[in-house]
Amino acid sequence: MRIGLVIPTTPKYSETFFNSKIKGLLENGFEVIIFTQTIASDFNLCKTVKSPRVSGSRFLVALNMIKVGFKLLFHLNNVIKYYKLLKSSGFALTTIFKRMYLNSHILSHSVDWLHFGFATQAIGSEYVAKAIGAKMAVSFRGFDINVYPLKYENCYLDVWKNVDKVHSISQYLVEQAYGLGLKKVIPFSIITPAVDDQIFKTITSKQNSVGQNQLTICSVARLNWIKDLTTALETIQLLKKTYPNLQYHIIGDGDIKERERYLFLVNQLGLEDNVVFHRKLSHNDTLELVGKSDIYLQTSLNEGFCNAVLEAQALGRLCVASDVGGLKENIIDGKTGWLVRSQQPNVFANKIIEVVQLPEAKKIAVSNNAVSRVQKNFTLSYQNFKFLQFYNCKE
Amino acid sequence: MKPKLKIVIFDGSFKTRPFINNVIKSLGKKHKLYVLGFDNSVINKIEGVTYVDLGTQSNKLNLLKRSLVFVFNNLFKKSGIKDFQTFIKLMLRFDSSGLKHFNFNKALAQIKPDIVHVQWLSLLPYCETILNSKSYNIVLSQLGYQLNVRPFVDAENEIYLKRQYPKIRGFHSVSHAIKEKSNLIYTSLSKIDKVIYSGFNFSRFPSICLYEKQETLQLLSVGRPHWIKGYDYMIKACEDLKKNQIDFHYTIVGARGNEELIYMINDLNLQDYITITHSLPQKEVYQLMINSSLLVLPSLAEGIANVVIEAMAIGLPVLSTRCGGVIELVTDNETGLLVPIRDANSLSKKIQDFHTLPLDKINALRVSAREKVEKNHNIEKMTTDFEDLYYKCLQND
Repeated sequence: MRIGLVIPTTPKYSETFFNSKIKGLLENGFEVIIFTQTIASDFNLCKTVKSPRVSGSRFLVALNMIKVGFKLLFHLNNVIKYYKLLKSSGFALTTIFKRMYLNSHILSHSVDWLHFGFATQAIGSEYVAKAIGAKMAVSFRGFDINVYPLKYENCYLDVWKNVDKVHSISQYLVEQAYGLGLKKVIPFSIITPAVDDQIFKTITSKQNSVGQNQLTICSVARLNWIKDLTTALETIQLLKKTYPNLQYHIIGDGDIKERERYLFLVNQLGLEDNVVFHRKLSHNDTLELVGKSDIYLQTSLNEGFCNAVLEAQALGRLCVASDVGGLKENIIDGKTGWLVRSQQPNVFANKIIEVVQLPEAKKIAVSNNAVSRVQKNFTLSYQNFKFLQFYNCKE
Repeated sequence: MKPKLKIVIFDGSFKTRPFINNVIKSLGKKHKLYVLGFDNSVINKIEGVTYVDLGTQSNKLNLLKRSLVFVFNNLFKKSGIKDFQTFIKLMLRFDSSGLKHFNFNKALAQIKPDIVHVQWLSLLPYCETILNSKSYNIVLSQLGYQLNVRPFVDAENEIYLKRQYPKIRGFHSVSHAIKEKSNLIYTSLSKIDKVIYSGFNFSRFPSICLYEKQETLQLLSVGRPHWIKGYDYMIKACEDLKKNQIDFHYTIVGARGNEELIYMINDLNLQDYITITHSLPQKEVYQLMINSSLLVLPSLAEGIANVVIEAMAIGLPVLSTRCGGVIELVTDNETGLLVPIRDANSLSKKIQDFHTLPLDKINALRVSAREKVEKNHNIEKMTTDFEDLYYKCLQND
């Protein structure tokens, strides 16, 4: 079976989700082609096809258009089908030609499944799968469903009309998609992110006990508003009253405006001695730092699922997270971690103090619960198995 | 009789801020004014002002063309050959940053101004050559974010400013609060730093507008969707207002399309309570002010907020956070209302207090606010203050 995966860039070495999925498919005799805008020079897992040029000088774009037009002559069947599909759906001629150019790299191939790695990737390519005689699959991530449609209402109408199967990283996102118009008859499969088995070997022997006034808290989060680091830092300010020497580590970067936002907040709250911004760290360094912390904190306004929280649990950390979106499936409240109301620094601070002051046995129990649940339900091998099922299923 | 001055206003583009346009218009009556910018699309040229095009930032060919004009104009002058050589080098490297610097310096060499008034801290890199050679008197305006925030979160920027500040002849601070920030960068007995408040053109509003208490409390904020504006706190305050069943509507002008704000509004189910619009022309903003109940400035830091001056002049009551220079404008319960920064609960509580305030108390606030801005924020005062600053810089020369 041949799978065409549409993603914006080829996955980096550290992106376990796509890499492991591709490896798993290849090992099981599938053929995988990646359709993408950018191809990293060191990527060699599978065949890649680059999308046509849309920026740069007009001359080069025009030249490319001629090249693309010529190439499509050898795939006239697909092109005619695509034209008819768009025409019968009421698209204007200019839009049809524009889309034909933008999707030409896919139209010239034949696959069994055309899988859009992000729902937003499918916008503008909704009819391509049908034109090349493939089934259309779409993956839901947090941003696709939680944020993008707020700004662009009805952006998925054509996706819903054409999609054959949905992959979501959480049940929550599927429910939200129903609200956005996804038909309930469309089959879906929940395949969450997973962690590499190697991670369990790196679990440190750090005790879950907190020394006198010492407390180390950690978050892995891009410095993006959706992570609500304002609440995180205001929580730290409140905790400072009880733990004056506490250390808060933020792993993740952002653009200059985002960085200045949180650095200024640290400055205004007088937390310079308590907060360390690590910006971007390697996956190994991230795991090491998370593994050394007493509490893992995730204050996000929303999450599709949140891989970072899953890894923190795999490392046996005591996780305190917002009671939102996919996090409710990621953490079992009171059992593998704790969920509290989002955007409430005092609620987060109180919960962290409560957790820190729990009897040692209770902390160890939660930590063990978290590790064993991840070991049982969120492994890469299980993720791979689910993807095989996803494409093989006769639904 | 004081001499007529040649003043260069350098804002980076031709689209100077409305408040600086007021100064330009006013100073232009007595002095020779030039506006230098990397943008040749002037929408509303001010009469009598010379606009000097330094080339378009995004178009290298245009930059080159402008450089060539400067080179030819100077070809038979003393530095003509040297300029020509520099130009050839820059052209071969296609160095747009170098070309921009070149054009800026050549424009100044042609004008030979008494004062170069730089409008933003971020433009200082263009002035490095003239700062080092001390060829002109540079006056720097100190407004907001670039001094309130950046040097205090970016060590490199702080070091850079500490190196450049002593070379600058004079400073214009938009408030005493920002002057204090400036002193954290550099202070000296010989430092000239004058607080000059923005001036409002009162001729359009000879007196404060009529004000009626409306059934639905109309809350208004005006400003770009930057985190420094603190709209996230105000949206949380709106959630509290809704919970307390206050009949209100909140309009944010100029923040349309911001993902964070859209998300928060939807997440908190405030779609029927909050409207975000695109930026609007000044005339429409003033009309909105006339139709609103309260201007809210939830900012985290400000040099001074011109929108507060405008609201006070028009007669719209103001609720602001205690952010920098705004407390020089607003005294709590006298000329407006104040709350701490980063405090959604206080914002909500103060709005609820305002909602129950009798009309005579509101009118008292409005009258005091108008008196305050009439006294400190009129164009005549602003113009004289700028003249004084320029002459002081020349005296010290």
